[in-house]
Amino acid sequence: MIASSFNQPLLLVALLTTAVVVASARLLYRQWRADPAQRSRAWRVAALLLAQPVCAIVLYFALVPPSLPGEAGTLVVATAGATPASIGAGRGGEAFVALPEAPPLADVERVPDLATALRRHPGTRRVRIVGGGLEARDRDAVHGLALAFTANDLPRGLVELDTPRQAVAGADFLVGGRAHGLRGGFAELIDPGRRRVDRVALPADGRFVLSASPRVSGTASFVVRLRDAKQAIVEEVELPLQAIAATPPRVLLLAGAPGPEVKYLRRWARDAGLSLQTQVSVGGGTQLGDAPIAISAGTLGRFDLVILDERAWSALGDGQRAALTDALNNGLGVLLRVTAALSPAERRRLQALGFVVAAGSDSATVRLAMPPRDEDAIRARIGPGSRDAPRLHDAALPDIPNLTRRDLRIQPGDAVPLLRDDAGAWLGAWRAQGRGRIALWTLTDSYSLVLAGRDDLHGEIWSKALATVGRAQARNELLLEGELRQHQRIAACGLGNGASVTAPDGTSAPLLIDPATGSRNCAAFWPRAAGWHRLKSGEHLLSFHVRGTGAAAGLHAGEVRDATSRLAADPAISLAAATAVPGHPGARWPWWLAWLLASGATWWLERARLGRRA
Amino acid sequence: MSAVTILQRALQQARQRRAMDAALHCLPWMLVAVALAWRLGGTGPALLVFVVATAASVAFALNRARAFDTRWLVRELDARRADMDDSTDLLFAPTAQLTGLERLQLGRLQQRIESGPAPDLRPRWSARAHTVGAGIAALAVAAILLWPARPGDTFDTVLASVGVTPAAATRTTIVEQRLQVSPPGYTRQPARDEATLDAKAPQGTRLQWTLRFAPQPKAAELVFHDGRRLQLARDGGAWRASDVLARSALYRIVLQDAPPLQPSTLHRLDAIADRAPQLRVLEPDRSLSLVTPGQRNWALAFEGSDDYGVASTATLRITLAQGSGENITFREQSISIGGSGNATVKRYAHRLDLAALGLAAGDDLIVQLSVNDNRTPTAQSARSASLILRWPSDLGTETTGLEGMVKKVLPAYFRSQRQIIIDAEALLKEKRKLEADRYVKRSDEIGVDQRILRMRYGQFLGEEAEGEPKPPPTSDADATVDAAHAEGEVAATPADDHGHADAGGAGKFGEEGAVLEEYGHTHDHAEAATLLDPETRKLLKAALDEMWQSEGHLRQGHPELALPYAYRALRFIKQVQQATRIYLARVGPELPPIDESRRMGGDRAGIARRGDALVAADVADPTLAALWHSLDAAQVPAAPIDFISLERWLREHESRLTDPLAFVAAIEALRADPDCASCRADLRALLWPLLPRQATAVPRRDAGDAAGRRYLDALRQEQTK
Repeated sequence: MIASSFNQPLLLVALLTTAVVVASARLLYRQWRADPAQRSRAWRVAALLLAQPVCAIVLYFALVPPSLPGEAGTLVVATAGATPASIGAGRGGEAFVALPEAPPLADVERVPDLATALRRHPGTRRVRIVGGGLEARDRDAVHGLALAFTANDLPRGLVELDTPRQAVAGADFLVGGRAHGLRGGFAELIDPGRRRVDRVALPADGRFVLSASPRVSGTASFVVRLRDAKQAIVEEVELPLQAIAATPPRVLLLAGAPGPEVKYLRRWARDAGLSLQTQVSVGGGTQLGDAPIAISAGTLGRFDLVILDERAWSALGDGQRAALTDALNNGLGVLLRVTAALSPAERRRLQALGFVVAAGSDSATVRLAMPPRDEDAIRARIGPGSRDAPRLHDAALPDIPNLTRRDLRIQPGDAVPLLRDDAGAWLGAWRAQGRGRIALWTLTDSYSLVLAGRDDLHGEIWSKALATVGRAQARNELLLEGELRQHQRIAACGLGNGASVTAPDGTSAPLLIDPATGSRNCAAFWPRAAGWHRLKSGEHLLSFHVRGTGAAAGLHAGEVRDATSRLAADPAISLAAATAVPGHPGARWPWWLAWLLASGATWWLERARLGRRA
Repeated sequence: MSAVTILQRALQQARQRRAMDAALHCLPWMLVAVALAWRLGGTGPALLVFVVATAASVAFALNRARAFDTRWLVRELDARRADMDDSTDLLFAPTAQLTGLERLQLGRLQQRIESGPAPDLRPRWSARAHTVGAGIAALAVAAILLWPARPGDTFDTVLASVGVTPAAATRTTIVEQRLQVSPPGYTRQPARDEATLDAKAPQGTRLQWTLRFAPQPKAAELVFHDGRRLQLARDGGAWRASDVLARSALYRIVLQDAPPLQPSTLHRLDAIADRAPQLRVLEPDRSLSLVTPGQRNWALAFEGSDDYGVASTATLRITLAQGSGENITFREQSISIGGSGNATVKRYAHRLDLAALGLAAGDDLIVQLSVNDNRTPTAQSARSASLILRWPSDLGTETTGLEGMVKKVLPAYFRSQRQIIIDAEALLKEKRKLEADRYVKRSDEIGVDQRILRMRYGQFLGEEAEGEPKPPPTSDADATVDAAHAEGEVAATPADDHGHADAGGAGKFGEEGAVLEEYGHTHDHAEAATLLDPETRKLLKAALDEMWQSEGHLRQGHPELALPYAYRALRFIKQVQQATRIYLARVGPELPPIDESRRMGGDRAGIARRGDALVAADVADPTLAALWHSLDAAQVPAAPIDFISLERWLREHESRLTDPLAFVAAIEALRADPDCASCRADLRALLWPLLPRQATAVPRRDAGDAAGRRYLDALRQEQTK
């Protein structure tokens, strides 16, 4: 806009000054040119000369009214679910606006967004939010204002859901969430086959954690179902996620002797796709398993995890042990299976690695700690069995056998439990050492789970242990931030050049990286449709599901409320005092009236015979 | 007749003529209208039009006739009759206001009218108008009735008239559908008509389809999901077929020589299998009842229920078991019992007369009820649990609280060596108070105890019996121990049928020299003798020797002589027990430390590394996983689906499916509409429970980004400082 580049008041001043000068000059010129007999009297000329600037000044103020000093006020903002009662009576200095989400409210000005409302109400220092909270659109607008938030009650049902965007096919994933107003109710997880795989009773605060595992890679849609105390279904929220194939860790298995534990561990590792290098010593320097490799810094660097028992550990030479410790510090995971009484030397070595252990000369019987799942859920989790051992959908579950462990007591220093028995005792523990992790494992016959027909449990406990201990994997993956909901802004980060998003209808939208995000390389995206979107950046692919506007309304309400509460609690926001309050233009009509009167009087004086000689 | 009357009559006649004329005017047009209505609308509208037109004509005629009033009469008379002198109106003027002249004229007029001919004021028939009208109307009626009937101008006929052949119909629709469901009579369900072509009905239901299609196909049939085809027979415009619902099925309608049927959905027939009847025992409340004293009959009550109906009579099978031990005879008989109650739940009650059945003490009476349901052609039957009424032979051996025979107590087997010593010492103390006979008898009893104990220990050495058979008393023979004992004393014949070479003369009472010989042989029982090491055997033998001596003295009535042997026997037994404790203690995990230096110290020449025996697991059937992927909703565009391999898989694994029909239906729905997202989701949901769960994979933990790693490293360096 060109006009806005002008300084309009200055232009006005120039024009009006010119007009005053010209009019005055003309007046004087007429007086000078007139016959002396016909010249007007001096007071008349003086009055006319005086009237010109007066008219100009009054006109100027009529056009540009002088601004009145602003006053610091409170803006009451009605958001979704605000009621007239919750808005409250207007106290002095309070103004009321309603955002588009607000229900119809009498005598409340409607504004398209909060920034507009703040422009319309300059001088606002305090904002009081009433109702559900501020949408993402309005959250940036309140910076620099004191914010108070009178929140509405959350709707009954699911208000918080924490899920992984991607899960590993074949491994368990956890879903955390919070249900509001369902005391005594239950949270259930329904698998894509519409069978319940997990169920927990809701505690008083409504928080729950459920788990399931996707069986194959690809997208799958789980459902979180909430029931109230009377078992009636309150809400079902879809939980779409993408399952990706795992990058299996490379494992070096060193065993001091062959045995069933090693055998079934190898069996599972092979079936789970782990790349496994096995060396089982049978004494006298003879080994079974894969081709022997030297244990050195170089070879250990090629592995993510070393599983060894105390015999193999004792048999390591000093150089090998030093290489193992170095590799551990550099990120290798080490899992030490204790299958027999430890010698004092071994205890000292363990102590050097940070584990203080006691007892351990005997073995004890344990039962694994099992999450409280009913048989139906476990059957649904186990699935149809394999081709060789099919399992009927209503087949009875085999009992979990008692297992044996070394009665080694691990002193809880900085160690973290890896597996517990049903009494809460530690069956395994790990601690961080350098970048790597080292774990002690006292369970000696996990293979009996396989023999009893619960190979799923055997796989689960070993998977969890190896996943915890194994070398961390640097992920160069795409990240999504923000609520994945139709018409809401999503930030995609970690993008390369030429990234694009494919919508469910097949249209592709290129993403423009915002330079302001620096090395995070983020770009914004507003999904127009609900459904599965595909983010592609170079070779990386990420499928994500966008919820429809109306789907899982409680989740949105919870998110909005949390974000607004965070804003209200943020002390950085209420730094308003320092900034000057901008003025606002005063009324124009008195100036117009004054101009009219002044102009009229001048006109009358010019016409009148008053003060003329002839 | 007065003049006025004459005039009135003339006026009346004129009016009638006028009305008739007007009616005749209307008549032809009325006919035209009726004819038109009949042609266009049929009889009903024609009648309606006739009535309306008649009413209109009558109204019109009356209206025309009413125009002829007195004034018209005056004018007409003035015009037609010169002798009226243009003063006819005097006839109708009120007489009171007339002047004299007028009265005179009036009189003259009246006379003239009365004397002259009656005036004829009737207007003439408008014959020409009638003729023309009738002619035109006749033509019109003829045209209406005779106009050639033309078929209605449809879009198609118009197209055809301009030379365009009508397009063939692109799809067939079902204009009428009816599925008559007649459940079998025994179900007592009424026949009904289903609004849709899906049905859920009892097994054996007769289904009758009546369908009308537009356009008509050449042939139509119902094709079931298992390949069965049912031809629809044409019956006029309708197509009919009937079938008996034997098992659940999916079907679709397939037409021949007709455009495709739309909508061509799959229909589902669910057969509800008839459940077998259920029997519940109401009385007695337990399966084993005992005869109460004085009981004469036994009341039985059962409740039978079925989904459609149970038979009105049930069969009660009665078995009487008489006798005891191995000599038990059974008598069976069946009686039928009538039930009371409604069709689906009936109560069968009966009272058995125990005396008539011949139940006596020690007998068991076992009854079982069986009942049929009303299924045709073959009924299903159910049997109740067996109920037993027992008349115990000896009420004392049983406890009434338990259902079953329980021995009250187990008898003591034998006294221990220590007890024998105690008994013998007690006997010695009482020696003075007792008579000699009694003293010897008491001593002999203790001697018997000693003997039993000796034989018990002798078993450990493989000596299950010696000269005189006297096995340790068992639970079922405790009452006869003494008798057997006495018998054994007298008979003294070896019951040992092993025929040992040197056992013949051994074991005679008092032959102490033969003891060693007797113990010289053992039977080498795997569980007994060979498990004892020589040391223990020697101790045991010594103990038995001492017992033998002790027994001998006791039975001769010399407990004081027996006591030293008894003490020695006790000592030996204690030693044996201690020895046994040493050698039979459980071996705990407290192993002696392994001498590592001696490990694998042998010759290892020729030992080589063996090949690895572990092979990878079989890859799971990829069909389902591939299908799962191709049904992925995230794929744009949707991937094609390999139905053929899926169907093959389903045929091969039908037993693994809980609801194969649902699978077939989902596949058909998706095949009909490959773009249907919900059909894809449905099939995927059915597929998931069939996907095998792989061995649990190992996810990798996240290493975080570079900044995070640097931070952690720095933190560790801080810690180490």
